[in-house]
Amino acid sequence: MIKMARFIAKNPQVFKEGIKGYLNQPLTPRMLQVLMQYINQSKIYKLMPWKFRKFGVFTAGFPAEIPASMGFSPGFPEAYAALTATAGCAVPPIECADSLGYGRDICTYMKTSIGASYLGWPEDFGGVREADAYFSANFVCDTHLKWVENEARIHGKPYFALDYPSVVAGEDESRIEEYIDYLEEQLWDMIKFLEDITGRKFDEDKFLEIVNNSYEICQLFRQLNDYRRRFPANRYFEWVRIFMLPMVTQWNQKDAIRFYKSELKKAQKRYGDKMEIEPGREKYRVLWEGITLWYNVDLYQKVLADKGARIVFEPYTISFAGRGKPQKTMKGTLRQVARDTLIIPYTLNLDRRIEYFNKMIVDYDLDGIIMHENHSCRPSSTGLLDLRDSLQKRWGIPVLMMNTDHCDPRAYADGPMNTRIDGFVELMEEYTKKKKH
Amino acid sequence: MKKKFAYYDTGHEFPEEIVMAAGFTPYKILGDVHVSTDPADRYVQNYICPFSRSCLTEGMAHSQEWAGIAFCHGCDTTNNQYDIWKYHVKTDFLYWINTPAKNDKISRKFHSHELRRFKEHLEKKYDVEITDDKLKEAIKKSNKIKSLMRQLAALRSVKDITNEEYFLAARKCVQMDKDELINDLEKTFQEWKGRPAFPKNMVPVLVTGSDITYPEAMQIFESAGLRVVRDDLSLGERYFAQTIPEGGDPIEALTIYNSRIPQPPTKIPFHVRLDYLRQCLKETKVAGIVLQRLMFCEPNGLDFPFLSRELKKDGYKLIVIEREYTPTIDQQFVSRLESFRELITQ
Ligand code: SF4
Ligand code: SF4
Repeated sequence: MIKMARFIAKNPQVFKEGIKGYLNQPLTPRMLQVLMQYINQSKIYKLMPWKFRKFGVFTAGFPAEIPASMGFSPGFPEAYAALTATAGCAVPPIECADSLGYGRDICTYMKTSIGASYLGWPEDFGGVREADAYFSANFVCDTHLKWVENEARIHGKPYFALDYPSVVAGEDESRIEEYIDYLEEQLWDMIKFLEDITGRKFDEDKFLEIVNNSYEICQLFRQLNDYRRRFPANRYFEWVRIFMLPMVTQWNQKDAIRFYKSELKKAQKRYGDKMEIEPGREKYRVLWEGITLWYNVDLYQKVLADKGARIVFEPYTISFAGRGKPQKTMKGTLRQVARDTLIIPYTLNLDRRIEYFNKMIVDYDLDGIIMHENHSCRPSSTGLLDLRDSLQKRWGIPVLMMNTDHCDPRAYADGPMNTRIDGFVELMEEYTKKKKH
Repeated sequence: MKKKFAYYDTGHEFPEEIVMAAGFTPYKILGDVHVSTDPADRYVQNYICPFSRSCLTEGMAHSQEWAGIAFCHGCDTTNNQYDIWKYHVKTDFLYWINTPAKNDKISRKFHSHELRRFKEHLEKKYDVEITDDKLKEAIKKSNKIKSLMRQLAALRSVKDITNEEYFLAARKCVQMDKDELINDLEKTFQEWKGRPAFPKNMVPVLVTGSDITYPEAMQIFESAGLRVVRDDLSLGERYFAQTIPEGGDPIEALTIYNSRIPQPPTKIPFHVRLDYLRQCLKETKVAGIVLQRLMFCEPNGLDFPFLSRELKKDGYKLIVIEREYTPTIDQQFVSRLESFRELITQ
């Protein structure tokens, strides 16, 4: 609270902009409450000793279930950074990180977080408080490893990294099993690390319960997401991109389950099981590849929507919804966790990525694809051009390459982008006509 | 002449000795700064490391001259480009070695598994037997080269050896037939020993950062009156600072060796890299440190704030500088280095 008050006193304008930015999102009051609860949890975890003993910082997708079962309340700097950019306040922290020596081409999730923490901003505006331990993995990028290691070093706190092999194109199941062997060993090592730093014995039952909760959350999220296959898709990207946070952040699992369950009930009540529940469909059904433009909800709810184009699927959000069921044994469950994090839609190799997109084009009856060439993110940018060529060759589907950044609004130029969007919409018009014949 | 086996890594991870034992000359792909990257730019965006695009261009044009190609897990850029090579570079054998990013008992065990697997695949593909004896012979040869390079490199701070000459010797190590190389380095050593003393008008510096892969980048330092007398580059000390253990199981020896080399920026933890730089600075007196980074080189971009802060705290004078990928001597770059030279010699 004190931190927040200090922040408001020092940055009244940023605060005002931030509130405006949040209000511009299509958030229901319940979702806003869910978000605030997550952020506040990392502020007041110490007041919940029956639930959390410590605070841990994690990179997105990290198997936080393991530390969580040892009482670590999870904090995800990327989620805070994403919300800061959503609120339209990421530029000052990014500039601050630049001044600390981070190059202009370094990931803006990381720079938003580093800058906001350095400026002493609260979590609602990207800052990350000191944790008891730090955890990261490189299954999406090396940035994760270095970013969090650096935070741990600054605060002089323990750090554990998971080293993921890359599953490159052409590798088969036996190769994946070898990688899982390596990951399993590291997961056991992490358990030992946790026992050492907490002085407590690992609680297998608690772990299995948490994995089961994660599995349930992911299942519910997927079921809800499946409603977007229907015509018209009931929930759109501008909503889902924030809707995924309770799942990503491992936020209070029981509440997340309750929240998703009640949303699912609403969807079931409204749409039932029928595939076509209302006449007509979106004029153009579009897939968004890459990270959303957090600062630019208008692009989705105004620019694209006004032209009849709706984002009906995005691999990014579903990438966090892949947790499987706990297995009978601890070993089996750890291997399951390893597999679930090793192969996710966001990091598929080119062979698998092309196959995945071919399927999505059919499943979601797509009319176009927007590929985000994200200046911040080399891992997700690489391979996009081949992916585009392959999809266009097979389907003739229009693809718009959107060259910008997910957190930094300065990389987005409205004028030229609108012209390109117009061209893209024209191509979709032709494509949908052809599709009908 | 032995056929070349090409490899692509962003540090010094590739186990050259395994392909030497299979009867090939290891050839490190370094791209060519004089050749346009247009062919690669069709598949890789221009905001991604230009060196990697140059390597892809080389691969697309020259792969048929190589028996095969192996990649080592390195930076995000190269890791993700493996697939693009698979799609656009014609070769009978493209192989992926998952070098770990960590350096502990578990990752070393995995690394050794990866090396054994690579050896087996080579044996199968080329119908050769890579015996322990052959591997040990290759290790001995590599150690001879590393020892010669250490002697040559030590002369940098006492003799008049230009930056470019040192670079060219280091580059030969990763591209030339190893027997010819040993002769060449021995001759070079005799020649360098007779050189005049370190020139008074030059200022000794340590260089770290993105790998320097073409001589023109080294000439820039020369133009600014700076002599690179220490470094931790892959075409430099990273390649020869350590000796490969000669006893015991040769694959284990290569794993141990890899865990001891000066750490590239793609690995963790941070401090190992810093420790090596500190050791260099203790051993050799330099006037300043240059942290140079190739545009879009993320691993170094992530390391530099930490490295520069710590080295500054130690009391060293340093400059952090970003360079483009071009053979043209960038006058702005030279001027910045000249100003740095003035600062460190005051
Ligand atoms: S945006 Fe890309 S580079 Fe940044 S943290 Fe995410 S995956 Fe890593
Ligand atoms: S220069 Fe940097 S980004 Fe480029 S290949 Fe080397 S380590 Fe990777």
